[in-house]
Amino acid sequence: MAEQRYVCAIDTGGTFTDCVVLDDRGRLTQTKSHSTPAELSRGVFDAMSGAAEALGRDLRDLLAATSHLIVGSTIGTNAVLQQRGARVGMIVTRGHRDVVAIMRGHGRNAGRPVAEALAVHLTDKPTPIVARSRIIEVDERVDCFGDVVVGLDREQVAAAAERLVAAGIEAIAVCFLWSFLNDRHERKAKEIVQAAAPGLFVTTSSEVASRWGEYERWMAAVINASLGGLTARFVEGIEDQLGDLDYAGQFLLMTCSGGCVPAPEAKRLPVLLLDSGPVGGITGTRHLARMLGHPNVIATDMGGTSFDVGLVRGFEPVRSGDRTIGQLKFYVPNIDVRSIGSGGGSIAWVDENRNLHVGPRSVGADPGPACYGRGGTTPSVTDAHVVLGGISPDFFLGGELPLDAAAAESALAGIAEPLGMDTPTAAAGVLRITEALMADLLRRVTIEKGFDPSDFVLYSYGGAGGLHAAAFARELGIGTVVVPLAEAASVWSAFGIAASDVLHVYEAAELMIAPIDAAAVEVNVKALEQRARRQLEAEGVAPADITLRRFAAIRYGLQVHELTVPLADGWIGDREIAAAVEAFERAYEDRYGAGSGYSEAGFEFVSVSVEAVGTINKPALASDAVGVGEPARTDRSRSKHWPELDGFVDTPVFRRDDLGPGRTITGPAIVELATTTVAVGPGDVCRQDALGNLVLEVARDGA
Amino acid sequence: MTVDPLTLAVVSGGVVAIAEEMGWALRRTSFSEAVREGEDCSASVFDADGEMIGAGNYAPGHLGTSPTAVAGVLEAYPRTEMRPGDAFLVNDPTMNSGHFPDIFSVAPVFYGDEIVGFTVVTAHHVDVGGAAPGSQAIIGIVDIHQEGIRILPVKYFSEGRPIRQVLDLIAANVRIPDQVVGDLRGQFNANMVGAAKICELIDRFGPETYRAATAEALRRSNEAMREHIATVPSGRYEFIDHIDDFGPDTEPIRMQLAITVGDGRIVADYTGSSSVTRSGVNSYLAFTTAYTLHAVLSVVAPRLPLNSGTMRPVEVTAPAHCFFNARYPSPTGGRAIVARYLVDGVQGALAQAVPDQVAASSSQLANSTIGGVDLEAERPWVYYDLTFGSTGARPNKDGCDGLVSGFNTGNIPIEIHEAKWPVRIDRFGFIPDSAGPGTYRGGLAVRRDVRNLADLARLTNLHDRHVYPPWGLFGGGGGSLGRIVLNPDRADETDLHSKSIVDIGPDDVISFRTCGSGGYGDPFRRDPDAVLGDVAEGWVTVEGARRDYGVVIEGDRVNEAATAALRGMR
Repeated sequence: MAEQRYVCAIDTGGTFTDCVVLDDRGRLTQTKSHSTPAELSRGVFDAMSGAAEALGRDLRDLLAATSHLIVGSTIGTNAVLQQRGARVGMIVTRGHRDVVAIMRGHGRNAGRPVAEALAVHLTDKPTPIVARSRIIEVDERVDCFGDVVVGLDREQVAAAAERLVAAGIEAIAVCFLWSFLNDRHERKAKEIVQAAAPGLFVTTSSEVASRWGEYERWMAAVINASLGGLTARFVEGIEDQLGDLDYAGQFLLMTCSGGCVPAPEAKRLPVLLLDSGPVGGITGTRHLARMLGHPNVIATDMGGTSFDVGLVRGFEPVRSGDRTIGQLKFYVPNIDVRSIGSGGGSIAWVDENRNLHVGPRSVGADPGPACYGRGGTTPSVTDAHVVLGGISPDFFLGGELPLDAAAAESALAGIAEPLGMDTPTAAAGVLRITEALMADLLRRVTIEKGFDPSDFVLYSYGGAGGLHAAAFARELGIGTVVVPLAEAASVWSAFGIAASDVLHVYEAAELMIAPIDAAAVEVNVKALEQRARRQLEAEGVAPADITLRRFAAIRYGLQVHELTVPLADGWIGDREIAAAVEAFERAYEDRYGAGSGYSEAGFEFVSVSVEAVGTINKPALASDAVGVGEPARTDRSRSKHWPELDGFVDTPVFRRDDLGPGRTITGPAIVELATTTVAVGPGDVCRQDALGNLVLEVARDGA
Repeated sequence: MTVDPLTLAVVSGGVVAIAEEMGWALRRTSFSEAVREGEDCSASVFDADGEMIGAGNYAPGHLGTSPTAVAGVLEAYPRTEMRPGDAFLVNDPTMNSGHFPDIFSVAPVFYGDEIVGFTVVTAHHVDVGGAAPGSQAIIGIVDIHQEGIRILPVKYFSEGRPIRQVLDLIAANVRIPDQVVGDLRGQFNANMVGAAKICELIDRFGPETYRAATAEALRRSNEAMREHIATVPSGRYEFIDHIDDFGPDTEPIRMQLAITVGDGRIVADYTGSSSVTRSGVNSYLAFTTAYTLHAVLSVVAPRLPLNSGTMRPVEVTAPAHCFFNARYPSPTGGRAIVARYLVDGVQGALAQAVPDQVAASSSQLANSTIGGVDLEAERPWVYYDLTFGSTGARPNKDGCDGLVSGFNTGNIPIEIHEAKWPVRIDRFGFIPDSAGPGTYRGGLAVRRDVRNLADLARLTNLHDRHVYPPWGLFGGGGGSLGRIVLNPDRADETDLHSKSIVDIGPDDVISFRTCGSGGYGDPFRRDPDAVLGDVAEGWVTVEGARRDYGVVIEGDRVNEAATAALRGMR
């Protein structure tokens, strides 16, 4: 076998496909190439060819030396948003045909901002994702104890499958009530459909999500079904080409739960692949956070059109059991990444009451911000930075794109006039509002879950974030900001994908009311672990690389929101159950405040779950020696506006060559890199560490 | 003191964010599925003068009445006696959202020694005692004391500690004390979350700037509201509708509304409406005001923040002892069905002024409860159902099928209901041909069949529009009527009155059928392809297409000649 020393990671985005290659000494090679939306798999190979070239090899050569190829993508997300996936048919429990159309009665507000909620005549539910004519009811019923009350009518299932196929559907979701407690009917129905329609993509609700809540579980199955064909084409396209190139390493796909899975699993559960690219940013953050000793991190990614936020807490990404895309809510284990439409291209506008707003609409790539000089006249966040000296017209993207400062100025003047302000004040207002929106999202993401943002370190990646990070960190009482690996920050998701491990999540929902039967918990956990181990071994993971982690979801009696806490390894007895309950009570009070617990209500175990990790061995990142903490020096400077200093101040500008490990910069200062610009506020101190990260110590408010 | 516009934006946005945070805290720690799953709760922030300065996206009925609750508490407890960590309860309809189950928790916010504001957290408790499980019975109820425990402002937390006597007294008077007490503690916790966050906000800007900014935000909201009102043509717009009745063999209740627009103000007057009833259906003025206001805002200024400044230019009046201004001791447990009339009535009246900003009448919710006694556990149980229909057609769009409006609640999942209570949901879906026809059709009615699995249970119905259908606008037809059917398609099938109380046995099935929603514009002008689509999906039958829309469907196609002929005949 050839020497195997590369981990190769790809992030297929809407515009760019990024590739990161990590060698066995922890060195990174990164490339960016254009995505190929018509045939996404081609972009994957273009990106890898670019990386091979950078390493002075050809593609076949690179692949021969690669042990793991991991691909993340946003494939599917747009298909869901625009309802462009496969035509799905459903076979459902008699009497419950309209569950996915009713959407629990509140689809209008799902995933929408508060401000829109009142406007009843202006807001809508989405078009039902499965037309009613493609949903067929069959006789069957399981009750809340998992007992069959109406047997499955097999002939009706076969007839339904035939009717749906005749109507031209391309995938079928079998969705029955209570299937997560007893999946016999769903499994049987799937077999019948497969026999009646060989080759058709068929999925059941219980294999996608093993949880309470018919709407969200069924929606997960529908989305899974709708993405089956699309995903298979993408994955098989890559597999075929890898075969042609005699690739002998592992081919894995990144999932939204923050790990990766082999191709067959990805094809069976394509819903797992939704938005796996952005999730890569969080796994990269976790990897770096462990090296830097930051247990709690808010990971932020500000690009041209959006601002994405995720959390790492206790060195683990904060996960969620559900997601909402385009007002459709569904169950899928995922790392919770939230977005708002705040990016460099977000449009600044004034409403009829002379209030200033920013976003959520964006100028897009063409014509882009006014300062791009491509004929745009709409003021954007980037234009405000140009007016205020945050971005240098001569050094945008390292000087690749010269900017038109006059165009930015006149675009901003267009909103300054109705506001009765001068142009710089209006531009400062645009940034202030942008930062307030960002801070608001961070607040939601942390506080909604019961976390205090000031317990976190903030990581800022993505090209447009560095100018804002310190400002909104200050607003939230966050003391430290990290711009990861400086220049690698622009391919950060791909880096995170390279840093991920194989991960499967198994859940068994069985409601148990205190006193908890430890033996029953033991049986459930063992069964899940057996499944997990079998799966990983079948995927070729060596036993020594397998880690199993067990969790219990516990809640107070009568409550529905559970908290997930670790369950002890080994045999589970009453003592281990008591320890889990204690951990639950601690976690509850930690989140909702001392005294908020209510043990008189009793406890319920909602489910047990197992996270099965197949570790992909990776070297530590290469680091430089750290010099003494001497100040960095520069001769460059320019006039930049600082709201803290009430106006423009001549500000030193540092570039890559001015920095070095251990060097410090005291604000006000600007650090200009090819991929991002970082504002170091008055009183803030910026230091480059041994790995190349920029670390900002943020001065307290008013200090 | 003047406040720069950006500080203003951050502070006024901050108090709204705090209100939302309080709502999250409540829902996450709540013990009843009405709050947690149905989101029947709300939270708001007040300034030191008792003006509402921020509200989250929660139940409009709660929010609009929160100022009254704060005023009520301040009247009963002088500020000088309040301490940090104190909190007060009130559920009297003169000061809350119109019925006992909505318990408001009001707490002062201290910054140092000074009261800088109040927080209000409201939850609909599934049961607060009284004649029937769920505390929303209508028939046989002649005064409010039959509806459960009445709480005039009373302190229930003192300096952060629960006052046991108060909580014990409440627990002893409700059917499911664990849930009620659990949720009251959750409400207090949310109050305290809000107080801490307000203090943090003041830390950042200083008390003076905070005060000046919140006052300025109110002033601006008020000004913006007046500007919005100025876009509505001045005039007096009347609308008349009827609530079916207030129990079997009773008279309809007349709603007569006159909205006067002019001079930057909107006055909604209910003079001419029926008098109070001797039943659980009545509306106290606080409740009438809250929903009228919600509807006016959603038509006139849907994007303005909800606070005292926005609310001030709108006045709601009704003569004393009119149905819409009930006074103590009129009972009120079933007032939920009144909300829909208030919201629709405003739309009906304002349709004459701003036809492009209103929707036709929406479905009435079915909010029945089933209760019984679990003999083994020696305790009562209460199943609380919320079945929502759909919303009315709009000037350029169909109504929404299966959508709540007027409440920010949702359907409780079937798998949650069945796990908790001895019921099985046999069927849950849309009813064909139920939408009010129109150029844009209304939303469809929803049917939910609930099978009782307990030995003996009592069904308390709370529904309406079994007699007067939801109306359409500008030629649009009305939606189908609502029904409640006991044991559908069985020999003993019986239609139940919308407010009946019935004992049911094992395997009895209650089929709740909401009404459909009204259409907008002449149905004979509806695009025939849209009708064809509705037929393909089973929303409209082939006969319905011909009868209601004048569209002739043959197979999967529109017969255009026959359609033109049929439409021309009218």
